[in-house]
Amino acid sequence: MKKSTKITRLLLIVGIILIGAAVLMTVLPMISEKTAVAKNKEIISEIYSIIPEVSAGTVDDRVDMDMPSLEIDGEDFVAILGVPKFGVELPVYGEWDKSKVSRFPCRYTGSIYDKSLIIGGSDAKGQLDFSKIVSIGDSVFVTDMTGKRYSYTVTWVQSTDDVSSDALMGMEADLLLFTKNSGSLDYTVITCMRK
Amino acid sequence: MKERIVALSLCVLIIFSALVVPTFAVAPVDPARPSSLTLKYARDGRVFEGVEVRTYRIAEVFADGTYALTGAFAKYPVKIYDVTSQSEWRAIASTLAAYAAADGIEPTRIGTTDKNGEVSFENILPGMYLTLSVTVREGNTVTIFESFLTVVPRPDENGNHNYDVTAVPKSESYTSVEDKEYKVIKLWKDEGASGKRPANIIVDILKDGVIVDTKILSSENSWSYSWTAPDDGSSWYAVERDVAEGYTVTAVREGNTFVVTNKATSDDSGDAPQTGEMINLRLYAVVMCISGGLLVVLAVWRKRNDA
Repeated sequence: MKKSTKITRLLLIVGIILIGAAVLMTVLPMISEKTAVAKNKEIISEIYSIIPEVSAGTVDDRVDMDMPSLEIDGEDFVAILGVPKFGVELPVYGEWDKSKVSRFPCRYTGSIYDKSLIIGGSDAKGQLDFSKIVSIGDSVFVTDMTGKRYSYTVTWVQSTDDVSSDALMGMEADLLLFTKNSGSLDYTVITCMRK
Repeated sequence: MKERIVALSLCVLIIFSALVVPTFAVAPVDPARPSSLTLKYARDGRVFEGVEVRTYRIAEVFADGTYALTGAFAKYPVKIYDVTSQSEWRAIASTLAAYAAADGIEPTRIGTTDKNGEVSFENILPGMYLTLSVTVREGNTVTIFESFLTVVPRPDENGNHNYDVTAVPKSESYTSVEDKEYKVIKLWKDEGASGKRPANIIVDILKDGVIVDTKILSSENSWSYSWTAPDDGSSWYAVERDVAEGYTVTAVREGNTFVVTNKATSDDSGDAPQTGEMINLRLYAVVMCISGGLLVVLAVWRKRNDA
């Protein structure tokens, strides 16, 4: 076979493989998004069936700021994040884990109790996709695993490419949400203050 | 010259003494002074007569005003120092009350409220006192006075100590129903140290101080258990047994749910992690698709050229 023909075939094969991989990389996440949404609803339902009846939380001058976690199927959740306007309720995983961020938002750092909580997540459908349409003045709530609910108001929504720990922890907020914007290289950061 | 040196040396000595010798910003506590504790059981202008009150001296106090669990309570993995908030004190009271009931610890004093709803305990030692929860049932109305902690003496704003302390326990009232559902759940505060977490824990469930059930909580039952019981004014507690090494425990009642929390005594949470490199799959997919497409176009073009 002529060398030229071989190269042509090689280019064709590699090209088709790349296109195939791109299709898989698009379709597989869509399937896992759907699965994650369904799974999260189950987790939320189970959390609500276990934790005490929800009541308003108060921020006091406690020394112990650690958020207690509830273990469900081997995974620790520290809160339920809710945005009533969009009917969103998501379990918040207890620590920052990039392998879990596509399934549910993760507590990046901080605590409800000292107004330092930062939650990060994906903007995939059923996750923090409300970040694209949330507005200043919208309500957000965070319920901890003792059933105490803390309410917040969105005060700022911004795009930024700097979500280093210094940048995030330097922002003035009682609750900070951030998400990577798919299709671009920047992030959306939502600043919330206690009601 | 000599006088100046003497004067200067004296000044240095006085200043040095002031720095080195500990001074009390507040007056020191007298740990042996006879004291008294008066409790008043009242709610919405109504006083409760004939209520039996049990109080335990759970901690001794030192001259510098610090406390340490004492007697039968010394063995419990409950932290009582560096506590500032009411919610944390409430958790401590609730936890120790559960242990007192579960282990049958004899109260330091027992008394009954008089026609003013008051009970006084005289000639007691200074320390931290736990008074157990009291439930009063009148028809369909149930009034619960929570377990609570009181310190004797109580410091005032001038730094003095009041050794005759009066306290009014918090209460809530509700209308009873036939049956109630109770729950016990297990939470963890051990971020960064969850590897030490035990596979399961054992919880005793007590009704009026008697163990009525023992349950094993684990991931298999989502670390929770629920049961139904008549709402007859009984006092329920949930007590964790054999708390795992490296953890302290609190047991707080939230409504009808007993929240048992284990906190790791070592904090390995470390610095905040890096947020970056959240993989943008779609971007990669687009790049790969375009690259693949270009290669296919190139291949087709070459094929036509060769032809």
